[in-house]
Amino acid sequence: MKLADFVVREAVIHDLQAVTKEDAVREIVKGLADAGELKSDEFESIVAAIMKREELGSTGIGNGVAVPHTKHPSVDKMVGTVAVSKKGLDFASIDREPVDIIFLLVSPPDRPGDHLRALENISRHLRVEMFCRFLRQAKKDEDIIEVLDEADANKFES
Amino acid sequence: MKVVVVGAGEVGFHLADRLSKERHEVTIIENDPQKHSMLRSKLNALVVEGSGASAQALEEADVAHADLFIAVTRHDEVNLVACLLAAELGAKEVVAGSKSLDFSRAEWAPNASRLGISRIINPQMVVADEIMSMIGYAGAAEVAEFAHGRVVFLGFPINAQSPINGVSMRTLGNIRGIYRLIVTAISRGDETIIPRGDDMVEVGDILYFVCKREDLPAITDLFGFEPQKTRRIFILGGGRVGSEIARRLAHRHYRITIIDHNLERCEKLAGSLRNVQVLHTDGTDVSTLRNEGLEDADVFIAVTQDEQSNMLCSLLAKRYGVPRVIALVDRPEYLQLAPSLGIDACVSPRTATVSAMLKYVRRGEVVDIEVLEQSEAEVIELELPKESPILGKPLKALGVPKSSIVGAVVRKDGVLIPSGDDHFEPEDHVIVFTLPDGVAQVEKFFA
Repeated sequence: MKLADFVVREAVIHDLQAVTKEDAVREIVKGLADAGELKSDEFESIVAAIMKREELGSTGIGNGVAVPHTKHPSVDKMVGTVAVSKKGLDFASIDREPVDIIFLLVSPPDRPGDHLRALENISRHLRVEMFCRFLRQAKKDEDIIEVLDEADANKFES
Repeated sequence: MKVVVVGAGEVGFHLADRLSKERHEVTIIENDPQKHSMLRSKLNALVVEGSGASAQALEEADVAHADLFIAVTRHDEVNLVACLLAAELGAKEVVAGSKSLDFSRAEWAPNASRLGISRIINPQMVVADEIMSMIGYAGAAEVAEFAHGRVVFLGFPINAQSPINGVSMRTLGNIRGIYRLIVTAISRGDETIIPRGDDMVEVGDILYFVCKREDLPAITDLFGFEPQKTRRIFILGGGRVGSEIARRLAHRHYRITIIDHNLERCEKLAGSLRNVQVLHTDGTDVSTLRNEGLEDADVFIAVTQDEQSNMLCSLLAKRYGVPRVIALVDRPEYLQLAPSLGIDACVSPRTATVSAMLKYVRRGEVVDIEVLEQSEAEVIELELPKESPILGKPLKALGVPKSSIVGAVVRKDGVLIPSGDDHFEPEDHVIVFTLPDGVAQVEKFFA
């Protein structure tokens, strides 16, 4: 599986404005809805599902990275995107450090294996320091897409 | 280590077999002459004929030089006398099995230790403890806690609806960045393996993993192990195990119904148990059980002395909608069969007792140990020494014994679910899963 299989290019954000966890999730989900990949009338329900998952344990996994995600019946394919925050924000991460890279994923409930494989893919790339560094350096949305494409082409593999 | 076991019953035979396979020097004392030739042919152990309470037999078994002396005959009195003699003769660690609850109560421990007995283990209490620990983890077939509950080892049955059905070990390993867990083993049919990258999770498997307790809610959510809120519990069998768990659960404000077909016993239970409904009927009497609300039960626990009836009645309960059934089952053949029938968890007095006794064998660095019901694999918590060649090097370069896997590392600043790049530090507590044939290697490797 590749990032391109679920990342919505039109919804990447190189300069996330939100300064709180919930607002960050809202801003990113809104981007997906504006891109036509999520139903607008499901917006609140999707945000709530993601925040409910965060209550079980923060997906802020350290090193400035967070991977909020959920399964939601309103989508029929996996929908994800990437947002980068210049200032960083508090995501209640395990290392208590601010988060500046957020991968968000919404998957249909009936294909849990794909959901896991998408998380695997995200997790694998986020372990690569260079991948994260390039994302942080993005000056426009297109820069992020370029980094994702390079990751899909295994340009960062050590 | 030199070990002397008295009594070649279920537990004694099993302990002797296991310890001799781990290359301990085992002597077994057995009174019944009909068993001797079987013992000689099946066990790699010295067989001494006679009673554990006879000085001659104990001397013949060279108890004076035993590092561990375990008495597990059917008779409490024999066990106690044997232990008293063994302690007097100089055996280092002395453990008695006891069927009577009197001796195994915590209050009695100081008396035992004054008499030189390290511990008195009551199989029924061990089983009750194990069932109690399972109630706290909905859906789990196997539960063990380490490092004062900060690390949990769990086994979950995989069904067709399970989100991780068909997922590879590689995927589960790679999501470790987000979900910090280590899959230590899979039981499939009568086999337990340590899975590698391409191995897939299949329907009918029991998946065993280690994680931090704080990460468990997110992991159970992802894996679809639904955390139902347990309130209503049916217990079949009002014997020692059943009444003990009824008493403890009622104390924790669960709604308990205990079922027994023996009227006299029911009257006794009704007199002694507070806040417990006592039902005089048979476990197969579905219509009465349904009238009493079987369909609303969250858990059905079958702990009669008849293991076949435990299996059958728990399956009946499942058929009438009880989401989780736990059965007391002892025969290895049944233990292997049970998960495929739909019994969510089994508790075996034999393996539970063996597990409790083994804690005395794995001394030194070993802090805690649990034996799996299904496969006799072990999860061991051990403390690393201050100095050792395995410290400071990345785990992937250490060559950890093949039939084992490191699940968690506990150190002062917290719990680590390690990757291959992490390393051990002096006095780390390491939680290691090992298949039965790897125990000796593991002990050597981490010593």
